[in-house]
Amino acid sequence: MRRVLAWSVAVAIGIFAILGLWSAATDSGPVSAEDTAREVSQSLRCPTCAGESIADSSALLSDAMRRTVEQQVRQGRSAHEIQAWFAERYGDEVLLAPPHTGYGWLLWAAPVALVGAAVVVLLVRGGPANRRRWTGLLALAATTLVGVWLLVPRAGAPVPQGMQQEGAGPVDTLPILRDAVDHAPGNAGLRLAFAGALEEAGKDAEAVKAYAAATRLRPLDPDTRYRHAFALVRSGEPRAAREVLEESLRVRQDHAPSLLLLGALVHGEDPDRASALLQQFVQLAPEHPAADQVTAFLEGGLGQMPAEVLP
Amino acid sequence: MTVLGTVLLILVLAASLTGAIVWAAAARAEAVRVAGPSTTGAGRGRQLAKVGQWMTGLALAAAVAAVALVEVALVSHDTRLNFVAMVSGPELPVYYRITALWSALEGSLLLWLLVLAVVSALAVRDAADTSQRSRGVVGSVLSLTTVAFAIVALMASPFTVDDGAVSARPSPLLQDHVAMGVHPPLLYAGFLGLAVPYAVALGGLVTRQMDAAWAARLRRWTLVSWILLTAGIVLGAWWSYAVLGWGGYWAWDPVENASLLPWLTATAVLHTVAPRARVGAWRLWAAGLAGASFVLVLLATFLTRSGFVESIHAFTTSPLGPALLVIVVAALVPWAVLVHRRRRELGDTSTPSLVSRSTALRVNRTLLVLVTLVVLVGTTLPSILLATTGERLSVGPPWYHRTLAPLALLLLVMMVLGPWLPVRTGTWRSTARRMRLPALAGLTCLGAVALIFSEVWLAVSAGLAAFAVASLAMVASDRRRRDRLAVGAWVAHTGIAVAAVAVLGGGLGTVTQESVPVGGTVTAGETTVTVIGLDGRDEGRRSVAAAQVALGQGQEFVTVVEPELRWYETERTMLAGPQIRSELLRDVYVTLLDVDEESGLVTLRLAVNPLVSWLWTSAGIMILGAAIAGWPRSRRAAPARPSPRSDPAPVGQRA
Repeated sequence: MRRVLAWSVAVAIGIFAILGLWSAATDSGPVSAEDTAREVSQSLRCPTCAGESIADSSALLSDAMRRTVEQQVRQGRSAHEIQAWFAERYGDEVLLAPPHTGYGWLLWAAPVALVGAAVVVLLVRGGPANRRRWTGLLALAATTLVGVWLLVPRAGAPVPQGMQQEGAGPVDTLPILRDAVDHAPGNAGLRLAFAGALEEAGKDAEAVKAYAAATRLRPLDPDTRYRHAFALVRSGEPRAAREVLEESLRVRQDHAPSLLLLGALVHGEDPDRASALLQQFVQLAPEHPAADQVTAFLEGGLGQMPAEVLP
Repeated sequence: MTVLGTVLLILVLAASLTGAIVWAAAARAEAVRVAGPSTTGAGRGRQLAKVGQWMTGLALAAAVAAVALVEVALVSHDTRLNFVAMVSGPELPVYYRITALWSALEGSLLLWLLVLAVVSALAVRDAADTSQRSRGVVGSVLSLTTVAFAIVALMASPFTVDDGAVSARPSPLLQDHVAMGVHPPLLYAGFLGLAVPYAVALGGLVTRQMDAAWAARLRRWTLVSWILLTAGIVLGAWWSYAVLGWGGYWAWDPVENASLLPWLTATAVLHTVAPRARVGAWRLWAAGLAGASFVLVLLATFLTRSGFVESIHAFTTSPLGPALLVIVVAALVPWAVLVHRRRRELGDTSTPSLVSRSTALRVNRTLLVLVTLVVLVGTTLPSILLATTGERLSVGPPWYHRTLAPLALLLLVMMVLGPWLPVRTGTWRSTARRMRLPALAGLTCLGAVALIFSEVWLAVSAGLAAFAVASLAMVASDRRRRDRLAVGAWVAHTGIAVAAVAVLGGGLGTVTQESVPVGGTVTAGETTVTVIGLDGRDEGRRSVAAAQVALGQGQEFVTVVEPELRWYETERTMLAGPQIRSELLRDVYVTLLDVDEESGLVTLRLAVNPLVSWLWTSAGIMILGAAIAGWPRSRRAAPARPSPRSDPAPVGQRA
């Protein structure tokens, strides 16, 4: 009874293993264009590096070549066609697996010849009795070798059109950044990135809070303060923005964007102050995209503030 | 200083040359004594051996002094020496000044000479308990090797005076990571430790004294070298992974292969001279493989230092190529001639049972030699083709994967089945019954992994690993079967199987490279990195640009990492400082590739590499296994019993 049970378990496990292998071998899964492109890139040598594939190299030429590979994969060309395309332009040297023609053939034949020689040596040694024994083992080994040879994945087939997976859409990084901020509340750069992401997502009120936090962390950094003020203006709190900017200018009088923004903000209430601020801005940053308009505005007798200057 | 250094090198040369002659004379005196009964021969032989030992010691002392001299110059930054001016700088920390010795050709050859002198001195001491003749041959061979490398060290002397012509400085890569202090010395020790098995093999072939003690000596030295070499190679792979920033650890670069070749043959030696592996024509195989290992080491030095192969590891092209090639040939010829002449004498025409450890070991040797030859073809044939025909061909990972995968699979299968086979004869039935538990464990694991990951080869390797682990557990828990050799072997084989799983699993990773603004995100599968800030600082020797990135998994925040780019102004070289977050099942690998000030774009490479930490662990397991199997038994427990030459190969107790 126990014997039968043991055998049943063994047979069940055997069947389980065979089924598993079968499903793995037949499961081709969707091949994404990225995967194919990467596989092809791994088989091409970076011409300007020492033995690196273009998939691994960070050289400029490799980058360009990678793009070409991706483009051709998307056009539905097979790996072989792409490899041949590169070999034509860069020479056979570009192929990390040498071609099966010319001298490259030698490189493929040599390992096969070595294995063949080993088999012959094993068979010839020791007479007929030995030969009989080895034949079975070698047949087994040969079957395995051929099986592996055939099953080792080869980048060859073109990517079927329509099966190409497009890259995932833009990731929502807000939750990650939110966690990151909780994790490292003292990191001003992180707060700024978080605030930027909030702004992009249209959550202006939250963005203002994040900017405020960044400003508290970097009270003397005019760029941070400027972005804080900018967000305040966008969320309809120009008064608060003014306070932030005034504080900025007390620390550093030569921050051009702050001068521009504050000038625009105080213009309605205090045209003289606005004109002084804007003049200072033009002097500091004559190359600024808004400089010409500001100059025109100043010369035009302080009429209506051009809309482009304001955020 | 130049004069003193050159004198020391000449002293190494002279002492080794004298040593070589004296050791040869000692061996000869003993041979005469054996031929005809004469009491004077023995005394003379012993005296000569004593002189030989002194000479070997003198060569070691001179080599130590020479290295010390260069080190003092390096640490005090004494730029009177051209070499110091080239490799060292006043801004370099002391640690990297010391390691600067082996960051360029001249110094590395001096370190090589020192390690060789140390190994020679240890080997002639170790051989004190063998016959005067064998010891003489060993001493003579090692002294001649030292002579050869003393000449090479003189040709590329680090003691030349500064002539103002400072050639290219070594890459700052060699002054950027602590592993630089460990990886090359470990490799050198592993490489040169193999000089002793070579000498012992030649000694055995010359004197025909190839008994159990001979095998034990071969095994001892090969095992220690194997452990050092394994550690050196894996450390090199880890360094390449952690520092270079390309995300891989093995590129099938010619120089990497050159270090793998002697490792493969040394592995074969261990499976030929181990107490239970001495089957068939083991003496011939042991002598052949042990000799080949060191010839391959010498070939590796030639490949690395001649400019013959194109490699990132190669030293600058030097005129040493021909000299090193002469050494390769000089070591190859006597070995090949001796093995060829003794082949009938040591050959074996017996036909072991198919289901036996004996057959498994023969297959294992053959496979390891085949793998070695295939790697050798891939490493040298392209260069040979270029030199002879002008044809430029590349041989890279795809070629190695295709040609080696079948052989590797057979090796892995043999590795887990072999130890279960009966030493002499057996039947399929009894063998299958003994290993049914590991087999079922392996099949279960295979099926499960295949179903979950849909990867045939990962499943097969996982099945083999489970088989090995189950076997280890069985052997270790069975009082009758448990002994150091069996347990050590299973631990080492488990290590190899785990390494196979790690390598195959590593292939399932994902990589993305993208340029994004601050606040932008790069995605690889479920893993994301979001740039949250940039940072720059000047560290004197280098200026560093760092990117702060938030690492996320799905919608979860994980941590903030800071990959760097390091710019070395003097060398005008940019190096990556990747950040790796190692987890149990995967590594997240973030490299900063570029920061474009103008557009504000940051180029990041995000790679998710599965099971990388398993690979480093597997190396530790392999080394542990080798150490368990090779740990010396206390002499009291097992008195050395030199068996006569006709003694059949000692057979394990477990038949």
